[in-house]
Amino acid sequence: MATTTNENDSILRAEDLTKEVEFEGSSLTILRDVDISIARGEAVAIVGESGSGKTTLLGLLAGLDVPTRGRVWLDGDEISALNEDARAQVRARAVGFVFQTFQLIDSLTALENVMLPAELRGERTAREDAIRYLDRVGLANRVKHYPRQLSGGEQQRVAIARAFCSEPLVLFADEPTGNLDTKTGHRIADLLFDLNHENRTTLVLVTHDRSLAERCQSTTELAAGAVIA
Amino acid sequence: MNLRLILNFILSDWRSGELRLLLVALAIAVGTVSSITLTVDRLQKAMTKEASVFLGADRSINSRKPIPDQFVQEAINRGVTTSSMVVFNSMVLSSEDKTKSQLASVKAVESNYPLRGKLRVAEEPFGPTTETTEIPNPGEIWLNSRLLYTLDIELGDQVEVGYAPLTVSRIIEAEPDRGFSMLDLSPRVLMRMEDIDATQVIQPGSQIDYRLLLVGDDSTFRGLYRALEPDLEGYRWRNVKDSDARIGRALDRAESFFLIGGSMAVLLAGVAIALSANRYARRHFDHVGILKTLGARPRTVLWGCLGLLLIIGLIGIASGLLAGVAIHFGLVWYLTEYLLSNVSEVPAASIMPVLTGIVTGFICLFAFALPPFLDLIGVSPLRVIRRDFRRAGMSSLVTYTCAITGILGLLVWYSGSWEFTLWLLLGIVAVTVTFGAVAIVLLRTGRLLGMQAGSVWRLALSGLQRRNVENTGQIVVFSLVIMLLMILYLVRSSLVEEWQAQLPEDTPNHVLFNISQDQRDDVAQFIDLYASDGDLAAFYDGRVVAVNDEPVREYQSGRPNMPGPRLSSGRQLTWSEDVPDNNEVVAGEWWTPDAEEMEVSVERDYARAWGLDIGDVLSFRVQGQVFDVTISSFRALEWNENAQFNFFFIFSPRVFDDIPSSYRAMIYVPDEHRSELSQLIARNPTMTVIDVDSILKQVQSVIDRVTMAVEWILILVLTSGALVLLASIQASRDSRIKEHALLRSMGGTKKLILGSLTAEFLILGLMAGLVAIAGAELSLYLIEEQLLEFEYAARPEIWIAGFLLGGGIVASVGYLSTRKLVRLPPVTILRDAG
Repeated sequence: MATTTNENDSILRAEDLTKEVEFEGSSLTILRDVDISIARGEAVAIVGESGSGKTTLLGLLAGLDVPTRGRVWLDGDEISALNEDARAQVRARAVGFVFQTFQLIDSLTALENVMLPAELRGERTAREDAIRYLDRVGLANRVKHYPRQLSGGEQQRVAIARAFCSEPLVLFADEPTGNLDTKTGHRIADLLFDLNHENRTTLVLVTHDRSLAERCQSTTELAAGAVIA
Repeated sequence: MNLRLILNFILSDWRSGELRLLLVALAIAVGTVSSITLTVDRLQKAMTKEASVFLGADRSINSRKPIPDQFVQEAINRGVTTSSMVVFNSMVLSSEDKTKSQLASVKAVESNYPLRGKLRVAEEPFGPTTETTEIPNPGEIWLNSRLLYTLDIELGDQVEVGYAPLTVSRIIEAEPDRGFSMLDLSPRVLMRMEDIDATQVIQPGSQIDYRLLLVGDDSTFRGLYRALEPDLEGYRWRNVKDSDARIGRALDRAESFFLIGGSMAVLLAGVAIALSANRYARRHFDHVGILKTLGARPRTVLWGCLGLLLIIGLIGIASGLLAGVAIHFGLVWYLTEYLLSNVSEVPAASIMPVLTGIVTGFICLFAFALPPFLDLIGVSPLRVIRRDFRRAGMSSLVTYTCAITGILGLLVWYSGSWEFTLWLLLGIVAVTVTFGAVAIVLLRTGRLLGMQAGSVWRLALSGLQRRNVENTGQIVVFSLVIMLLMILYLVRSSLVEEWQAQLPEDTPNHVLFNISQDQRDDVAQFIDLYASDGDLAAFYDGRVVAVNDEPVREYQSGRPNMPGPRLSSGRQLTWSEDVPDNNEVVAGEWWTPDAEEMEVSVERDYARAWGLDIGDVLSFRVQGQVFDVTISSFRALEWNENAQFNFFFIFSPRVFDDIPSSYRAMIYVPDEHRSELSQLIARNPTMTVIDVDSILKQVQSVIDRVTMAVEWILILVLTSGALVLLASIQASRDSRIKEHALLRSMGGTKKLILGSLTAEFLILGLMAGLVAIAGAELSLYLIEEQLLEFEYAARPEIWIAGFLLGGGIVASVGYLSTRKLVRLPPVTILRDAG
């Protein structure tokens, strides 16, 4: 257990989380008996070396995958027991993402990318909200640009705008500065934490960058699939 | 997913070029199918209409019994135009000199005759002819030129048919439904139905041929036939195909060809759609992954995919139909420009071809494009953090079942034949499995290590091996396309050759009958001087009366089940000094010209059927005389009724020494020597001449048109084939390009990359060509022997074509489609490829 938060306040909680994969006929454990509880509004960093299981843990916590054993609750729903359809609904309602590789749809403009989550929920104010958030991340004049016409930093800012535009309860960020130079990385991190603060969002940040992790209120460290600190 | 979002995706995918190939493939599928079906529909109608001329109608009911009024009434009630006619043989006498008479074939017709085609008439015997749709006025009669000679009368004179005196008002040279039969020798006479009673020719027991000519559309005829069927016993329902065997065969085979061509177009288009949909889906795995992390439910993705497909389908089908209609107009215009005087003479198309196009489009879309799209639904959201993560896609079973059901449904619907479809499909499955196995063997031989980036060829070879699964698939697709194209091309060549062979340039256009002994030399001299080809033979009517002294009826009764013509029936006989052209002595020996023996040469199959042997003695009766001859040889001959006379029995010259004969000739007279022919006929008025030139020209025109249609269909199917190649190369291009961009970033020159890509495609193409040749030969064997009933012959000349087609086309298309990408900076490709 890496945090001290009262379990009743937690927006995200996992018990005995284990993930095994089949590999060449034998079972490989990539995450073992992880317990974690994250309070509403908290910023938590998950750190560890490459291959320690950080991304796997993020995938399970965000409901992108299901554990082999153990349970995960997100905003009161036990997402580990839900099917893909129901998990998608929880994601649409409560979760936002920022990825290392930005994950923008290259055939859509910056504006269209940011509008996407709201459009998926069928919201009518998608366009205004998207423009507002693009303005907030400093890209008001790039709304009609396609991802390939933007720099890495700009693409990540579009991704951040997209993540916050849907006003998620929990934001999952997977190495958000990993693909960027130090200076740009700092700017992006500032933006991410500022917006997180403004929106009172819960942040789960996967990183191997200690300085970034230190900006979070707590840190969970993984090694060989298990929590060590 | 809402419509706006779907449209947004379509629009952006279109802008980025992602959708182009799928849309173009679909449009081409629909375009090809609808233009083929539209053109075929209209051409078939035009050809049938043209061929109807041979029947003088679209359908006819013939009988030795009068046609019941009920038949006529039923036809009229259904909106069918009818015209009755009777045909009989009767003596025609000159009213002036009743000693002059001639047996003629009289045709009595109603005023609306002919329902199809035109009559060819002249204002003087053997004079220039013109076309008309008129018929004789009541009380008048039209005679054939030679009747005027034999009766020694002129236009305006009177003749008698039975008891009716009729005035000769015109010369009739040909009528559309005359047909062409060696047995129909009597000169033609045309008169009105109204005058028939006055002749009193129609008596109980007289030999009358009653015909009811019908004109209407096919569906009406189907209904009429069903209505009359119970009462048709003793009546013959004839359609165009029955009227002339050559036209019938040409139309049948053309339909078979259209069927094969159309099915191949559907198959190729399906493959192109499957390939481009697959590529589209593969390139969208990431997008769907992102949508899912953002909360899109599988159901949302499903509806999105379906909506996307539906919209793509509508756009593709609509543009395909437009293109198809435009192409078909072009084709019809082109064909009519050369073959028909007027486009408006081509009957309008029906709605069916358009429906065929639309339904084909949707089936192609859902059978071929839906499975890869449905694969998108299963993409895991986890893919956004783990690139390599792919959920177990839709089971291959579902994908293949979907595609195979689609193909099956389309082909059955399109060809109307389960049998044909199953054979074709089985063939393709067998070929695919075999091709796959061969391709794997070819690709896995001599595995190279590493990239082998040192030289163009080694880099290409290592590339081929590293992507051997993908390349196996590609070889299978390439070879299938090349194979299908070769098959179609070769079947077309066989068809056209066979058609042209049926009517060579110098096919005899005149037949001369009743040539007497003293007219023979005049005719022989005419043939030498003016006819470019000719066959002159003596004709005797006779029959076999005994075999080795056993009366023929007894001999025959010991062999009750023998097929073919009876041994005892009347035969036309001839003698000859030499073996006639197209005859080959296959057993025994031919006589010497001055042989004294009484010998006979028998056609091989006939002799075999009746158990005759060399040395057997046959007794014949000819003109009241009975004589014995010994069988000295058997002959094999090519039955070609258009070019020469054929005989079951040919005798040695001495046999007929004491029996007077008449001669017949079949000759080709070029247009410039027609006047000499008229002089020959004028010198020998008792001789009978039948001009079959106009009939031959009609047949030739139908065959030309069918040939042309077949060529166009070949071109359309070739276009589909090229599209499949392009789709397949596009699909495989992505991984090759990324790998080569990496190589370039590490210092590989553009020349090396482009060279190795071209070499890779060249090798793939050559391998595909090799496999395709084997497949094509095997399939051709089956198609020609089974479906078209040709004799199969291997064609070593296409083997080179297969290689050239495979290597050349695949390498060029590969080069052209990758050239542009190789020019892009490698960083752009690496960034785009992610």
